[in-house]
Amino acid sequence: MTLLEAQGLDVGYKLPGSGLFGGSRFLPIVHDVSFTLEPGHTLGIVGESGCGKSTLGRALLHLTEPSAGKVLWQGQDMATIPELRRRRSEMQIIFQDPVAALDPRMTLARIVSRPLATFEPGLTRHEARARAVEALGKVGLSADFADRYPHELSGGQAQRVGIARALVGRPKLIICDEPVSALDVSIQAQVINLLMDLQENLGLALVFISHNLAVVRHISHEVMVMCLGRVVEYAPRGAFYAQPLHPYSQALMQAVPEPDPRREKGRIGTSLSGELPSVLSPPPGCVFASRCPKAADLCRTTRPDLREVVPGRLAACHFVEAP
Amino acid sequence: MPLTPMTDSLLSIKDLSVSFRLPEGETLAVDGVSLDLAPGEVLGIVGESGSGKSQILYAMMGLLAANGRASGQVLFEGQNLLSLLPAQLDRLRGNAVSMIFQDPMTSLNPYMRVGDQLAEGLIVHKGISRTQAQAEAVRMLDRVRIPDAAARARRFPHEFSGGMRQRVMIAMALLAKPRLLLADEPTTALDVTIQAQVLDLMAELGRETGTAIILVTHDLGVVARLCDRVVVLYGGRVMEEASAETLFDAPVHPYTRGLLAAMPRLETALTPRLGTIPGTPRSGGQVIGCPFVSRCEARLPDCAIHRPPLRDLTALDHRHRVACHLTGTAP
Repeated sequence: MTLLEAQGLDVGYKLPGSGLFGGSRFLPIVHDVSFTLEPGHTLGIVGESGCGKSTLGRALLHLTEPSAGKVLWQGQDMATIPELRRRRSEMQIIFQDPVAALDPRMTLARIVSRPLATFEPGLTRHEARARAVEALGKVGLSADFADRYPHELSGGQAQRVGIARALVGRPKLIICDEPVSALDVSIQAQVINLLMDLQENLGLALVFISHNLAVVRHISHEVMVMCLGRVVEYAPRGAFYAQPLHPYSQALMQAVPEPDPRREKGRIGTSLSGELPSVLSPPPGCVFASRCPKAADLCRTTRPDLREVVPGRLAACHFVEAP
Repeated sequence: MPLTPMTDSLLSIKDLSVSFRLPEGETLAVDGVSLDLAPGEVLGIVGESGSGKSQILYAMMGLLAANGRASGQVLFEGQNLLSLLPAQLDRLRGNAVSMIFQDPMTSLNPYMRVGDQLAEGLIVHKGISRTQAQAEAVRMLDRVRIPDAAARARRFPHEFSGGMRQRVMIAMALLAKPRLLLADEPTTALDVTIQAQVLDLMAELGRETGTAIILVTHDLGVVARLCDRVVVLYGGRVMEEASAETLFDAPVHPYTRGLLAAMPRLETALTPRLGTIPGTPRSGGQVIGCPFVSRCEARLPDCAIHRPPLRDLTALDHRHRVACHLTGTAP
């Protein structure tokens, strides 16, 4: 059974109004996102700052209420799940800044076991601590970490604690919001490998949100590219990285610097010109039109629909063709 | 330590060490680093957090924190920067040597129009009139592709996007046509498409003005795009130095190899798991042997006891240097 499904999801924030009688305004961030995620799979969501990927991640757990559309958890509309707070043991989230996500005054055993007070209130303190130690063990931290405090940890260890806290309620899904962006390269690899091992051993599904296309390639089964709040491309990993269809995906791929001087020296001078439109005044046509080398008049006036270009591959571009 | 004498070097750093006085004692952040830079050359200094990479730049520019102390020599066009008086450094900074930082907002004055900030340096260093300097500033903003540069020059920094601010910083740094540009993680805070624009600009303008660049970064991809030569730093010491081609094609030091294996990539065949380096990066502190020893999977008993000297390995590249006891036996 499909684990998670988004149907035409819109998400936005209420902004305070201007002046005495100015009503509050609604700022839409994410527009019309739909996808399905199967158990044990990883969906990578890629995009640049302000594309709405983190807002979408929060809305998938109803941490931010969607303004339209719905999220189905194992076929059930999340808005109708009674006591969603307790069901969240099945769906967890980890964040970019691993140290800020931990309470500095609590021991790691308390930090990790704390969600259990909501999920399994019947547990004794002793049982809860044992579960925390077990979760720490799963992320490679020995039992003697249980009585340490966050300030004693390196960034990589702190992120492991964040993952342990997500695991303690035995989830089926973890939303990972830029979980390795703040880490050194050697530590980043450790954490990515850990997430992949956990997925394999526990059958976890992951939504992996990142700006880093190379990291997403490594960990994802399916890839979704977002630009200014809209999905511009969705594809299985292999097909996507072999040949991205949307000009924006292609531009992103071109921009990522690889540790290969021959490839890179040939790419000097290929960067996009033009400025990114503002979230506050999105363009009427395609979100990428102002920077797209292939943009025509149509692109500036009419928004392209996300359509199935080849079976299983979606792209939102007037001119995209099957490869 | 063997040092290839370079008659044509613009900059020659000799045995530079940087230490900080902390409540718990003196800690060493940079430990005997030597390097040379030719005019117009682009050198990358790569390392993880705590490797001391940024402190090298701060020491050169006299910008160390109050509890920091630098020793050794930093010869810029024959003049030792470490022994200059503040007033002498002021004449150099923003003139012959410029620096850009990771966060452009902290380097720009929020109360001053962008055009005035750019012009200020020219008025002070080159003694030209305000009008001339303003015109020059607008021309430079246009060069870094700020749209509608003349109008934009009258705006304040908060009216610019992050990518535009970093382009303004580059315009400001290159305005006086410096012979050396120091860039500390200049694109780390930017999105990839904006990063690509900024790297393009640095490559293009650097070539045009003949400015040599030292780029400090944690990103080996950025180094591959921009740099002629690379220095890999760990625990305040140079582990390996080579041309970009040699370093990426035939890395020798176990740390360099480990870093490259840990990087997820777009174009190589996928492996089930990424390569890893066990443990966490060390930062500062005196070590007897090799600073990488505790994380190195190829270590020998000797590595913890004797500091490996930086040896020349000239088989592939006449300026390839490696500090590892294994170099005699490594491929």
